[in-house]
Amino acid sequence: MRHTRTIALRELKLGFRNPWAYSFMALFAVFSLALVLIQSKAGLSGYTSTTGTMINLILYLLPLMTLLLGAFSLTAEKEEGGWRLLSSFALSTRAFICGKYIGLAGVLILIVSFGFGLSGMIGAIFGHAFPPSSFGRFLVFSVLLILLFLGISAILGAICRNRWQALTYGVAIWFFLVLGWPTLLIAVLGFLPYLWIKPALIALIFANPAELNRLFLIVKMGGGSILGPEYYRWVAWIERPTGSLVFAAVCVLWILASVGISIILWERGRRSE
Amino acid sequence: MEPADRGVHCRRSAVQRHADRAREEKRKAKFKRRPGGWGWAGAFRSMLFTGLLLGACASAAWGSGAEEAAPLQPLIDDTPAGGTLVLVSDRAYAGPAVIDKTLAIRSDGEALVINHSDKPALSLQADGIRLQDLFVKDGQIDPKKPAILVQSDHNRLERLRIETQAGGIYLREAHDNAILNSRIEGARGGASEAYSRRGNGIDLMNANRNRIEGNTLVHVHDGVYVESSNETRVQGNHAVDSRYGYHFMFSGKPELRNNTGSGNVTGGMIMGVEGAVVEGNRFDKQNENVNSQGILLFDVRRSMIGHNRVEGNRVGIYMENATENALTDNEIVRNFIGMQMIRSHANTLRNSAFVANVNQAQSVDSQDNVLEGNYWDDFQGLDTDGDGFSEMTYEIDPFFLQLTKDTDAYQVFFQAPGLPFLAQMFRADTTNWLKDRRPLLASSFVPDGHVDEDGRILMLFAGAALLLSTLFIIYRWGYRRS
Repeated sequence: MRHTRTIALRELKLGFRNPWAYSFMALFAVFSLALVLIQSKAGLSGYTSTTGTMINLILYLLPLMTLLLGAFSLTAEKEEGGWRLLSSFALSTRAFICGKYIGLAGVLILIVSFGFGLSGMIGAIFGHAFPPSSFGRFLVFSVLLILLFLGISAILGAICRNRWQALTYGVAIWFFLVLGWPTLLIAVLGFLPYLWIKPALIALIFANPAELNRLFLIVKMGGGSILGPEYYRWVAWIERPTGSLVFAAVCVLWILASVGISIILWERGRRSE
Repeated sequence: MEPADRGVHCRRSAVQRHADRAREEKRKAKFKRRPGGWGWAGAFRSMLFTGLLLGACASAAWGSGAEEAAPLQPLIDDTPAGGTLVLVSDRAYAGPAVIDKTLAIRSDGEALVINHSDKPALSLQADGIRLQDLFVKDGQIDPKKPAILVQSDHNRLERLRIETQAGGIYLREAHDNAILNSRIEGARGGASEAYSRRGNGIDLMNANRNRIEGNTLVHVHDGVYVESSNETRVQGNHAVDSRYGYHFMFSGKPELRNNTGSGNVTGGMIMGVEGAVVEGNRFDKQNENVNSQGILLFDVRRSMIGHNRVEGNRVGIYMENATENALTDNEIVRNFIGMQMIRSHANTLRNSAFVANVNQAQSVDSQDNVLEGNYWDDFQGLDTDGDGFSEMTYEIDPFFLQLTKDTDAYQVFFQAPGLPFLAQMFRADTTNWLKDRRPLLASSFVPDGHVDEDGRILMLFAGAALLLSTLFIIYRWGYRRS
């Protein structure tokens, strides 16, 4: 536990010495601020174009940011010899990966908190502030995206040998899960019999943290009816408090599974050295 | 004599007459009986009955409402045609009652009419009846049966309050009636009651030229349902938490003006209608149901839809098979989808504002529609001649509607971040797209003025606190060399 804490604090320190962290922080802050100021006052609460665009901005930026910062941090340990040094101590792989995960989560959450704090404050000054409930939902949505994609980046960091590889894979995964997702799914699901499309689609939503989070947020913002009659039961179910609990459980499962896989892969690499 | 006095007098005399008649009948019955036997007991009972009636009458005159409901029908029977029956406010009267002559029934405050039968509490069968200030509590549960049934013409129903699990006021082949400033509350189960188990608030069938104004309709099936009835004027009503707020079917020239609807499945549903005027209505928050919309126009022709505001609905205005309609000066705000147009032709849409809708508009299989001078808040146009209109057109991409038309399950991709990427790939020929050829660049649309000052100050502090604590943590554990 002490090891995990030490690694996490070290990660926090390393994270904010990394110019990438500041460039992402500036990017996120500037875009969220611009978005808040551009949008009309009419759409700040509920599921509207303003909140919809905000969701998409977060979905474009945060997964990519998380995947790159996470995977870079792990591969840098391999490239720069940090891990070689640390592994000479009695440090378990689990403590190392968990510490890295917690530290990186801290760095990323601070980055988005800075962006939200800035845009929230300046938006409030100019009378364009999101109501506190929407603001809170966006913050929770962002933190969840970070935690889930950080799990994927941990696996990525364990697999990749260097930062170049991590960059290529990271961008590919981001493209696959965020940009190309509808295209790929529609192409593949077209081969399935009609009745299988919906169950397959729902199963695949659980496999994509970006979609899972997005749909959960839309339903919680009261926009569930837009998903149409096919998802009527799902929406009604998610709207209930038990829906939130199950969603939280799915997220925890996702994080545990991805961090677990990362530990196994990392451990295997350690043994083969 | 003051009207109130005259009313009390009239009512008292009606009850008195009823009591007298009962006494007379009892007396006759007594004399018909054989002497001896239980004749004296009968006489005693008769006296007791009369006493009770008189007592009821006396207590009613003082306005106490705790006793048994007095039957309404005898009171109506005893009121001469053209007369007025004034019921005592806070007093209960028992239906069902049939009104088969021209008269007025009213109360000074609000008299209660209770109905436990399976017939309407009040049936209007003569022309020119006036009902005013009554509270009808109807115990029926069959949605096809109303609390008040109107089968005659030129009646006026005003300031009524109806509570029922069944229907409210039904007009059957009844013309030129007015239903004004009444409140109809259905479904005691509240909003959770299934729509199929609720009756309509006001229901017109083969009834022409009726006026429905200033009514409030809560928890009913359809607030106002109009079928095969021409020239109905529905104005200034408010429909809440019902299936459809205002529903017109196969009716000529209906007018729907200045009504409001909130939390219904659909605000205004207009189907199979020609020459409708839908003007100045406001429909909010029709967004809970997967089939919700603000205004639905299906098979509507040559109608005018103007100056309406649809806000926060699933779909603001939905048009299917609608032709040659004029939509002008509408405000379509904060809906999930602003407007959907399916197989609709030759409609014009002018001077409307589309603001903060998640998706502004979708259209498939619709040609020859003219869109002009509308404001689209997501559009950055180019005005080269300074007339306030963009020379670039606003194009409405049919991709998503086309995609979901064949496979409903793909609706889950609504506004997915990857969807514009896919739509872009299919963007080849835009000639058949719905286009605004002269989009307005600045709108006079003003969002509702209520600025939540508390929320704003809270956000200011929350934002500042978040920012400062973030900076502190970054400095303390990130930046500072320890």
